[in-house]
Formats: sequence, structure tokens, C-alpha cells
Amino acid sequence: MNALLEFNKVTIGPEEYDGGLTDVTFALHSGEVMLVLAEARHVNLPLFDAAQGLVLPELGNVLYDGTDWSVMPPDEQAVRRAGMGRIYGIQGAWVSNLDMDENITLRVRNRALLPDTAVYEEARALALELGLDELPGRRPPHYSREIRQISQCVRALLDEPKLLLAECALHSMHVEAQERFMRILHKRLEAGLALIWLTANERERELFENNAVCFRYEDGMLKETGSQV
Amino acid sequence: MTGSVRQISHVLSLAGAVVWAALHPRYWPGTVRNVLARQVLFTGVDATRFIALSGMICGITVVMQAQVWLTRFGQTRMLGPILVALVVRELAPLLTNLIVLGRSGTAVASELASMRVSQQIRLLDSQGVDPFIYLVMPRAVGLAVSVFCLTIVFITVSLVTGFLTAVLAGAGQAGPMQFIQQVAQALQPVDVVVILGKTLAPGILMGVICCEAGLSVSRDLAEIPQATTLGQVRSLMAVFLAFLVVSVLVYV
Repeated sequence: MNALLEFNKVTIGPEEYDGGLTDVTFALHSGEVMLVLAEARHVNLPLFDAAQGLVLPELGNVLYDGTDWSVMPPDEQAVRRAGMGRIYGIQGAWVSNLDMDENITLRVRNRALLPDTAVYEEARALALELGLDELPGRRPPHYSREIRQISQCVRALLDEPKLLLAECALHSMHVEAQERFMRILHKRLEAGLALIWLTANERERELFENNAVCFRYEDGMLKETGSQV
Repeated sequence: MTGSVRQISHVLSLAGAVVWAALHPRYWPGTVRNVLARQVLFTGVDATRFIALSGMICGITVVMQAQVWLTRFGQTRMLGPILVALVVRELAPLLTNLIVLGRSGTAVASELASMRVSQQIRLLDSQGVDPFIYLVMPRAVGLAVSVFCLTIVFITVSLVTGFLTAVLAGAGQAGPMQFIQQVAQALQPVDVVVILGKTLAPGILMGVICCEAGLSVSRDLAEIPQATTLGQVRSLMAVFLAFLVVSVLVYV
């Protein structure tokens, strides 16, 4: 089976990030989990941007679904990125002139493959499943950090992405919301979702019960530490 | 000099790309149509009262000046043609473009610049949303459509207030029908081309230049006012150049 995401000897400088990547090689298949442990000061890495083809490596190459990002036409890149979910870390990431529900559904609505009502319906169902009372409908600053974080999860899981890039996904969420999110995530993993889970919290290794391939980020390198807790 | 030529060709190619994309329905998903609607609402609808007021003042002042000179030469029946020549062909499109630039062009530049600084452009990219299609195209088209519609409002209000001013000032107008007839006779088919050329083209250019200026900042907040000013100055030049080109093409 072809890997969904492949990093081949990838080197990217630390500009704009907390650290760079040096000679990183791994392959991620559908249904697999890659857990990356980094120190709190190093969670903003180029790993996810490179996985999405937003930054191209100085050395090596990144392949998504068998195609090198560097040779993919822009339209094709946009289609592939729209098929990924991403949780953007502690700060979150919102388009400031859109309401929260518009932000959450933007990735899917922009592809125009489904009617807007169906997209909102799915988003609302996910929001309720994750413990929100309703799909948040005002501008992002009106909501607490926890609601924004849960909303990020709704956004990332919408429309069954093939790959989920999760940076500090559980941050600011209370235990119940974390459990709800992990339940949905495990179901999606069984259905074939590939996941990269970047965190600074060592205890989050336990969430995947030996099913994750673990890496530790040190000095620009991703060192594989096996799948043991 | 080479830099200016390169800049002009860059802006023209961007404007061409906007027009090309705007003519293809696949680049108009609901999300992009929403951005267009918001832009037209902000730039067009919200500015209507101000444009109408400006048109009113313009109509009154032009008629007052025209009355002084036409009465002196005994040519008061020329009021309609003069209003058409001055207001319809030149003043209305020019003043509308300048008002839209001051009110919305700068807002577009600063909005996109702050989105750039706060990494929202990368966020869009990472969700498979093309920033050119989602941000630039609907804004440029929105500005162009708004400039055109506001120019029509400006012209209508100017002509109506111009006529009323002339009547109140006793400039020899027999009635509204005669005035309308004079204006209609003075209007030529080429005026439609002039109005389209002096509204849609500068509108698209203004949109593209302001968007480009906004998106050209790096991650420094201090660059936002500089980008806004740069967008404004370049847009101003583009408006004047577009007017010059249209006038030369049509009247020379």
C-alpha cells in the first residue's frame, strides 16, 4: 500500500518557526498514527506546513498520496489541502472577518462539492457530539479558549479528511471534551484516517495505546522512540 | 524606469488574471460570492448616501458656474450638453473613483495587510482556499461593480440637482422634459463606453493594486500603514492613467 504522506530526507531551516527539520524521513499510511513529542518551546515546527506543501524543503522531498508537492500544480495542491484537517495549536487560527461557523465550514464549502446546508448540518452534529450547545456563530474573539479549541476540532474533522494534522489538540479542553474528541478520533482512525499528533505533553502517548509510532523532536531531528508507552 | 514598467506589467497581468477568473463560474463557489457581496455592500451600498451628496454638490456648483458663463454669452440652452460633457464624461467617474479609493481601497489594503501579518493568508492556503480567488478576485470585482453603480448614482443626482438649481436660478429652462431632451441629445453611444471604461477598468486596477500592496507585507505590523499608503498612491496613478488611456482611445 502506498504511503499517504512521505518525508524523504527533508531539511527545512528554522526561519519563521521554533525550530527546523534536519534529514527527516518517515512514511505515514492510512489508519496510522504518528506521535511527535516536542518541548513546549518547540511546538511551532515546519512539520505540518511541509506536510501540506506550504513550505518546500531545502533538501529532500515531501510526497502526498504519491505526488511530490514541488511538482503539483497549484489547483491540485489546493484540492489536496482541502482534503486534510488541521488543528492549529494553542493560538488557534481564524479568519478574523468571518464568523466562527463560517470559519469552521470554509474549507469544505469552498470546494462546493456539497450544499452549504449539508456542510452546516454536519458541522452542527459534530459540535453537539463534542459537547457544544450549538455551532458557534459569532466572531472568534467572542468565545472562550475552550470553545475555540473545540471548534478547531470540529473544523478539522469536518468532511472526513484523509489526513489530520493535530498540534496541541487537547489544549484548553476539559476532560469530558477531550474524551469525546478522542472517541470520535479513534472511530475515524479505524475508518482509515491518518494522524500526526504533535504535542508537548508526554502523557498524551497513552491516548493511542501502543498504536502510535512515536518520535521525539530534538535538535531539529525527529528521533523514533518506538511505539511503547 | 525599468522598475516602473515591470510594476505596470505586473499589475496589468494581475488585473487580466482577475478578469479571466471572474468569467469562469468554477471560481465562484458560495464562499467567494459571499466575499463579493460583502465588498459590494461595504463599497457600494454603504457609500451611496455620501456619493449622492457629492453628486448633489457637484451638480449645483457646475450649474452655478455654467450659468454665469452661459448667460454672459447668451447660450443657456447649452446647459444640458455642458452637464453631460463635464459631469457624465469626466467628473462623475473621476470623483467616484477617488471617493471609493479613499473609502474602500485603503481599507482593502490594510485589511489584507493585517491578515498577512497575523498569518491568516497561510491559514487560507492550508485549508485549500486559494487567496487570489478568495481574497483578491471578489474584492477587485466588487470595487469595479461598486464604482460603476456609484457613478450612475452620482450622474443621476448631479443632473437632477443641476436642473433644479438652474430652474431656481432662472437659467431659462422651460421644463424637465426639455432638459431631459437636451441631455439625451448630448449623450452619444460612445459615452456608454466611456463610463464603462472609466469605472470598471480603474475599479479592477484599484482593487488589484490595493490587494497586492496589502499582501506584500511580511510579518511586521509597522508595514501596514506603509502598504496602505503605497496602495493608495499607486491606485491614484492607475486611475489617472486609465482615464487618460480611455480619453485618448475614444476622443483622439
